[in-house]
Amino acid sequence: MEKPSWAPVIFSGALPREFSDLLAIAIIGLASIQLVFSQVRPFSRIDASWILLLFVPPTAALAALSNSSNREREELALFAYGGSTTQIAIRYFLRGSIMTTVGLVPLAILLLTASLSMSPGFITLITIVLIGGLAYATPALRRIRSSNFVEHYKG
Amino acid sequence: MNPLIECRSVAVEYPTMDGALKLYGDGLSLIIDEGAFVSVVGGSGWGKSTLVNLILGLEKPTRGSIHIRGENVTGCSFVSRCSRIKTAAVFQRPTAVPHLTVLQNLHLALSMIGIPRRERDERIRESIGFFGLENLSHSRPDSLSAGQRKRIDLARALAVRPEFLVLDEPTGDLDTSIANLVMPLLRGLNRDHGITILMTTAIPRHAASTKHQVHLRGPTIVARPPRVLARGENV
Repeated sequence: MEKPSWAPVIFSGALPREFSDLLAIAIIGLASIQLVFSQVRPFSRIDASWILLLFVPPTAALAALSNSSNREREELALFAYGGSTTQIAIRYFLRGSIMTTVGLVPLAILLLTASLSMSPGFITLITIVLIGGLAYATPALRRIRSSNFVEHYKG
Repeated sequence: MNPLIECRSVAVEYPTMDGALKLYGDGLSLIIDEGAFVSVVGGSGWGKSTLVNLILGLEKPTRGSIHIRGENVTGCSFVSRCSRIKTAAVFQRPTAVPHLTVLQNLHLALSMIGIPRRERDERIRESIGFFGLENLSHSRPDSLSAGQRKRIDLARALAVRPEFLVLDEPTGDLDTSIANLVMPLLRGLNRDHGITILMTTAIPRHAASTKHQVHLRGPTIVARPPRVLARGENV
């Protein structure tokens, strides 16, 4: 008997491709650029980084919530192909994390040029990326776990 | 014959404004033996799709239990049941990842169950050819009709080569010419490959061509008992 694989379900949808994803990248990117060029250096003090901590999760969640019908069809198909709730959640978590990472590239470059060591700023950046991924995966997880999700298989 | 799937006194209740909608009366008991071809017949809203969902583990019964090869799987998910018995499901509403092409969808479905690339290509070519999807293989599901999307689902199910094939109204949305191909195909899969098939249908002619038929009865509405507000006053 064939051995089910986690990789296809997770990686086939890892790259942000929808308009809402690209828009979220642009918004996070603009915020990052603004922080790079502003007088306030991000992550040097906690009062500068909280803006991103507050800003990224709703942006990622909004990107995930828009175009819900398309995403729901994607989830229904993945489920029908034999994907589990966890696999689908990881798929979206990865996509959300990549989306946030791309948006935060200007800040990452700034941190890389400032110091090559694992600075507290980098740890904060990674935390924000993980929070972005989590916020992006949450709407899908809620949808899949809702009692009327499987009703959509019926005509 | 060994029982593959067994439903023991399964019943489902959906709460409504005035009480509950009760499916399968006092409980539905059903045994599907390995290698059987069973059709479930009934009107709209009588619980055909719900029975499919219950057997697949997508819904939980209010009462009763479901067993796979004697093991109680009532609380198990679809994925967990698929690990016990290689299952392919074709739902009433066609399902495909919208941003992937027909070919990519089929590759994804097969790679998820661990079919190697070379074998995937072979199986997909075969099933796409059978359902006449060659010209549509690079199209996205959104650009296709409901019937064409149904054919993708059937092609996927065929390519999976399951032990247990579950189909919820497989000929719905299909042109008569394709629909006429589906029933002989299913009979062939059952007869030649020993695949156990459970199919729901509203078409008596299709049900009659299967080995066994399950006729559902309509749902019953259970009214909520009157609530006593005060002595002698019922609402």
